[in-house]
Amino acid sequence: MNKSPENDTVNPSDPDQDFSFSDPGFSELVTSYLDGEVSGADAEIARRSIKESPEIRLVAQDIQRAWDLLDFLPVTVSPEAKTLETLALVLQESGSGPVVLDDSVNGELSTNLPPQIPERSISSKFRVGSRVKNPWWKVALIAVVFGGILGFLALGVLRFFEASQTEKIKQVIGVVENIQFLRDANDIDFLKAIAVPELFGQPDSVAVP
Amino acid sequence: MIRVREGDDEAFKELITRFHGRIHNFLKHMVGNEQTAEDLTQETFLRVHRARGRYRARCRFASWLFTIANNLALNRIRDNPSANLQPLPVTESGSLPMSHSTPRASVQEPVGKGMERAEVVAAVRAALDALNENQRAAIVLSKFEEMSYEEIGKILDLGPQAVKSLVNRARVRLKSHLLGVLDQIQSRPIEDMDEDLNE
Repeated sequence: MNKSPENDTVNPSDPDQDFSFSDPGFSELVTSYLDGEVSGADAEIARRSIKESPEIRLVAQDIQRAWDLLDFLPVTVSPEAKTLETLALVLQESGSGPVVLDDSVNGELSTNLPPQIPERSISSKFRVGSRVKNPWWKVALIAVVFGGILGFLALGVLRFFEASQTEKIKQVIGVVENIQFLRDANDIDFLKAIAVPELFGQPDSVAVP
Repeated sequence: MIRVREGDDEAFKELITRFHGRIHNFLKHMVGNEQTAEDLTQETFLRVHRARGRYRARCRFASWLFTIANNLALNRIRDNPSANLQPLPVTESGSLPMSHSTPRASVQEPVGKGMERAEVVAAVRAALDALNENQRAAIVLSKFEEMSYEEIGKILDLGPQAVKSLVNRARVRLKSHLLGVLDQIQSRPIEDMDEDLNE
């Protein structure tokens, strides 16, 4: 059996193709075959390779035996009590119905009493009690947040009034600074006003040379 | 799940009864810690209940459930790697010191030359922990949930070829880690493979 260098992939139509686990494609084919995930020509290639090649058979056997060793891992059979604890927790969180679970966790579930779940049965993350025991920090946090918002708004209003006052002061300062010019301007207007010929009857007497 | 979506609490009880143990075991194999697995199991069902309105019947419920559980496990492992994958305590019999934990392999079955069952369990656990999260999830779903590559792909959000490669790498790596154990324990015949080859 030969495998040409340019032909590294599994080719079902080539009965003489040589396979090795160093070829990822072939390795995937064998593991898929062991998992029952291949059929037809691919399955035939894997089956024949394992049967005919001692090396491939050995590796495939080791892969399968390692797989079988997983059976040694303990498997937890979830008791009904755990199931009911989870159910009670979910229903309590959703508020969809009062649930009571006896502290002895005997598996009896009633839906006509207020919620009572043994605290030790609930993940710390979901313990409502821990939130109820320390409500003061929430109040403090809310007070700080609202205080901050109100302070910010008050500061904004104060700055607005300060700005309008500053504008008015600037206008007054402008008038004071330019009072001389304003007075001169008024004098010119006054001269213009009295320089009309009708007031004197003799135009030449007031005419500008 | 359709009934759960419509607010039927009895249906949700049935659902938890059916899947609680499976989800717990999956998470225990993923995070390697009994208490963390229990917390995550509860959280998984809480998430399912919260998201029940978004469930669509065309999606297989088990796939949806295991996807949520797997995501929670990945988040926990990434957020707090030191708290996870602590070796589970094993007794001489190889089972956890909990009344409801039992090894899948027969207790009477001889383990092999000078190797205690507890040692085998510890070695298998260590080999599983040596895989990356996706490899471990693929192995656990395939081995213990007997899921097809297609189902595993849906849970891990991978295409068919990616799943095939992932499972292959995981199984080869698992074999490499367990070669020492394989050398020591009794050679177990691979009945299925031999039957196939004798056809």
